Amino acid sequence: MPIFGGASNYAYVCARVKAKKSFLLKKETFRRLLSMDIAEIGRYLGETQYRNEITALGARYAGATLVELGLSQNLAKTYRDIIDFSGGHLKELIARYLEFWDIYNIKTVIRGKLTAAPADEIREIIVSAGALKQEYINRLITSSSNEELMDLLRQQKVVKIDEEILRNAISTGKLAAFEDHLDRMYYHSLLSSIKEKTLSEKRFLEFIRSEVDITNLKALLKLRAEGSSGEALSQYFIPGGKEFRIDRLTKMVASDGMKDVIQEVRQSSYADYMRDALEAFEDEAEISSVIRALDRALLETSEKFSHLYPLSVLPVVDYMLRKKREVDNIRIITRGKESNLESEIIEELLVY
Amino acid sequence: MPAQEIQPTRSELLEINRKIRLTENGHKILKLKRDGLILEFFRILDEAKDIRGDIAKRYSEAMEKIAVANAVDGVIAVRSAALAISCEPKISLSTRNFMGVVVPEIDSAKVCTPPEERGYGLLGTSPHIDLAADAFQRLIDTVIKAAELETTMRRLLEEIERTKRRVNALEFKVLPELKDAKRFIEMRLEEMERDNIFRLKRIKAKGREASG
Repeated sequence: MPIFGGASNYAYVCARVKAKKSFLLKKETFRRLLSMDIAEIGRYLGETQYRNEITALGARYAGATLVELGLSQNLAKTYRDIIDFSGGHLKELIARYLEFWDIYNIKTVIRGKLTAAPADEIREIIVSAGALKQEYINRLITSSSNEELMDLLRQQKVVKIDEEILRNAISTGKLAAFEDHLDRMYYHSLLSSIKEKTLSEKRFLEFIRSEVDITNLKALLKLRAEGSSGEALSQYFIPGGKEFRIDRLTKMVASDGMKDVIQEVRQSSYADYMRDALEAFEDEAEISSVIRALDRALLETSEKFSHLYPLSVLPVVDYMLRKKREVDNIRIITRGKESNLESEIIEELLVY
Repeated sequence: MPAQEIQPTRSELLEINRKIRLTENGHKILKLKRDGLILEFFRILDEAKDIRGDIAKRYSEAMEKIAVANAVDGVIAVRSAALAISCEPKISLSTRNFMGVVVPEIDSAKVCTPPEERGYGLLGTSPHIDLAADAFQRLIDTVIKAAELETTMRRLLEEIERTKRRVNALEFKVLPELKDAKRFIEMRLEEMERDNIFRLKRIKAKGREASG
């Protein structure tokens, strides 16, 4: 059942998104930012599309915290704007895709409430980029008991939450199973909301299934890198991947060494974007470069699809991913400089 | 022991001889204990030096990993993941006896946990946060091991100091005093022996004069 009525306005939304895409920072700009100090980066951002957020937060925060909070508020506003100016099924698809942030916010609030973190601390780390309104999230944060929190979560219709898993998480304080359930539900709900009526929707489904593959591969690599193995771990994977189905992932997680896992990745279509990272992994056994290569593979895939179907949800998703990547890259530079990481390390962490 | 307090008797001499034997035995045992403690101390010192090096290495690794996690995922995501971890590292404290010194034994259970047991979801948390969490768990594990070793070292040092003081007291005060007392009693007993012999000779001579 569609949540949003009206006709889809693909042409209008894609044109606006294309215009917004032209404002994204170029690769050379990140190189320039690398040679600036944090104050200079803050000043530079104050002259770009981040101006309003940097100015508004400038009186309360400074340095890397100002930049990070400014970036996250701008990202949230950008995503909300896109939801606001889109309509019909397109709006529903975008809202479903951005449900990721609703899930992120629900996880953060529950984590904070169960560890008795102060309300201001929880509020500070909320990124209201999804369909849940700020007032609703505030009500969650200020709820006075676990029962009230559960009642409020029952009232919202955006994120589907299994009642028993929620009750179990809140009563035991063990959130891992609940959080993984939310992530699985996110992809389940996203995949089932794509109707596959048109070719572009089929491609969008294909793209989301690639994203599922990449999310599963990241989880698998991190489990294997920390020495966890065994078929029981297959419960953590999200069903619906394009190239890596649950049975293939189960075989990979039960295999003897990382060599077999890497060999499987080499045989996938993502290997084209990951050749150097996989070679580096074999030499140094460092998973960060493989993870970054997977992120790059996702960006490349979204760009490829956006060019194939310029009047679909794909260019919008591509822009949202690129905007998120821009925010991530600026934050990597700022936080990296704050932690005195060497420029070479910071540059390695950037994903273009 | 002042000379005026010493009774120059054969029983006192026997008593002092017994004390000297006992003290010499005690002195020998304490010296062995001191040497044993010093050997153990140096063995632990090497381990402690290694573990200090480990702490420094693991600390810089953990700081680098958290810096990368803060940069890549943002302080916001790192803090959100940190909120999910409500359990604190559990340690159980017991003691063991080494040469009479009670030293702690710290058993750190559940500090290093696999990623699926850290409290936050596996799918939605970035690998960089996992790597940072893993690095900090290893650091805490090393700190707990270092705490055990360094407390043991401190206790051993205190005991070595105490044993050294006892060995020195026995070697330079108690034993010389007992030996002085023994010499004094022997000298007094010999003098008394000579007095008796002389007295007996005088009595014998007087008896001879009276009869003759």
